[in-house]
Amino acid sequence: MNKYIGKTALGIIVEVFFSALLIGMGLAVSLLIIW
Amino acid sequence: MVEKPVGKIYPIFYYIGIVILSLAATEVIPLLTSVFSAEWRMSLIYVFTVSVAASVGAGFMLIGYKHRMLKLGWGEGMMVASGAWLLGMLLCALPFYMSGNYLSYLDSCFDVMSGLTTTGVIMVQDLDHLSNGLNMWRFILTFLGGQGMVVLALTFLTKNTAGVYKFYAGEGKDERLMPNAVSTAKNIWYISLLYLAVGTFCMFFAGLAAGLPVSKALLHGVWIYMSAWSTGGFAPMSQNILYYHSAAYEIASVVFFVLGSFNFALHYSVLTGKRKELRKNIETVSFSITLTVLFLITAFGLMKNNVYPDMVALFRKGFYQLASAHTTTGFMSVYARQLFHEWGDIALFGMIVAMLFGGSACSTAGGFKGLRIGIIFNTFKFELRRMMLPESRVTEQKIHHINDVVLSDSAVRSAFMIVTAYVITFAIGTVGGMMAGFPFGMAAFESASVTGNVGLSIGIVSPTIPALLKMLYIFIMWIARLEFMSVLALAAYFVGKVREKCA
Repeated sequence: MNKYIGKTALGIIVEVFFSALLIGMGLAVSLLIIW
Repeated sequence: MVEKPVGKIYPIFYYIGIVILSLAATEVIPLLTSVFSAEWRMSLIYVFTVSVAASVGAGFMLIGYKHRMLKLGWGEGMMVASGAWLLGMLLCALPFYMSGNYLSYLDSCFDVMSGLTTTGVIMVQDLDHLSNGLNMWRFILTFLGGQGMVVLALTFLTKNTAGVYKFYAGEGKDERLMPNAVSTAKNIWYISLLYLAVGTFCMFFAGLAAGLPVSKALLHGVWIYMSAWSTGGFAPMSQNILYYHSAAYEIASVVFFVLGSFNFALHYSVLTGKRKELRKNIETVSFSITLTVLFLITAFGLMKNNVYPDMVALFRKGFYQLASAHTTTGFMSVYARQLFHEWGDIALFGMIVAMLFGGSACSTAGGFKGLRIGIIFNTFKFELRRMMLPESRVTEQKIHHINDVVLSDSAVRSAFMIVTAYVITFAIGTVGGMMAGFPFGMAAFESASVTGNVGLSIGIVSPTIPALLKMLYIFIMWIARLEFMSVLALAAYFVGKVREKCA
């Protein structure tokens, strides 16, 4: 049970991190274009 | 997919009745919200509308009850999906209309279809002073429509599990997370409810940080989360996300609408331990590339017009709007008129393409879908290789989507066919907008928004547009959300009936 909860929680963290990476891409492109 | 004229009309009534009954049961949530908020007039309206929906649902079930065990074909399964959405729209619009916040019943139907299809364009009057009960109903419609209301009703309420996959495909979610369609639908709902808890928690704290009082932070947190995850675009305030003036709120909403635009099969893989799928899957790869390229185009257009001269403004306005368009969410942190008067043609082109591309297949998002864009790009690459290399070196066309998949000709044909149908629908919507007197740029933007079930508006959608244009947009939202086939099956049935009568 704990293993299952751990796997799901880690999955959520990885998904949120991936989404944050895309937001980071947006920031990087904004910076690039302004330069 | 439409095999033959549909003959088994009675079981179709039975299943549509189940969907309507479950919608009536869901309407109890806004009823309770109204009661707890001491909105007595709205509570009475809900008591009446729940009774009407329950009676219609029970009536439909009774009509088909004797024939409920008949095995349904693909055509009938698809008719259940499209018919339930149409009747559902008419019944769900009752509380909207009776609340007095809509000028006509057509406007109420427009908002219900916009909610169910997770589009997000609105006709409501005085949105800033809507009752809590009515707001709750708007967001529940979005949440239900995003995950699939027919699938919810039929997987939890019927025993005929063999036929459920046909309804499931009819609602535009034709992928299996598990070998059986019922487990797949249940898993879709488990994933959504798990994220509902996580998302509400995050949005609640973002709301507190933005200075909202506790009760408002909680209600707005639930609603904005539901809208973001379903890629819906409804917001409780008329200024949409701009109302909060909060970077934390904007970033949290981007995270959840990006996640909402991902394929449920991808969520299932990642949450069960296959985390590498995120960087290997054709849809995430395709989405990352198109988002980057389209933001470069949009940002270039905005820079050329000197709209947002600093990086933070370019990111918070330009990237936010583009990500909202590409995931087909429709949250806005600028005014509609700013898009038309300030953004310029290049940036609007980037936005229109993003809205048409859309999110992932089998997600809450609309548009062509990343899977089809990936397949089409892969086909061009494959054909090019076939021309350049000796025949023996080119074997089979493969993509990675959960597993390595060898593409068949029919999968490629289907991708091209659905994308063509979207483009034709977009063209019809654009012509409709122009015939109502709007310039090409505005008409194309609004048409891309309804075709991709996005919800961004450049200022066309309002209660003052002609009734015919409203009906055209309702039709486009409906047919595009169900990915054409199930609505065409319903149309084929009626055409068949008319022919029978005329013969």
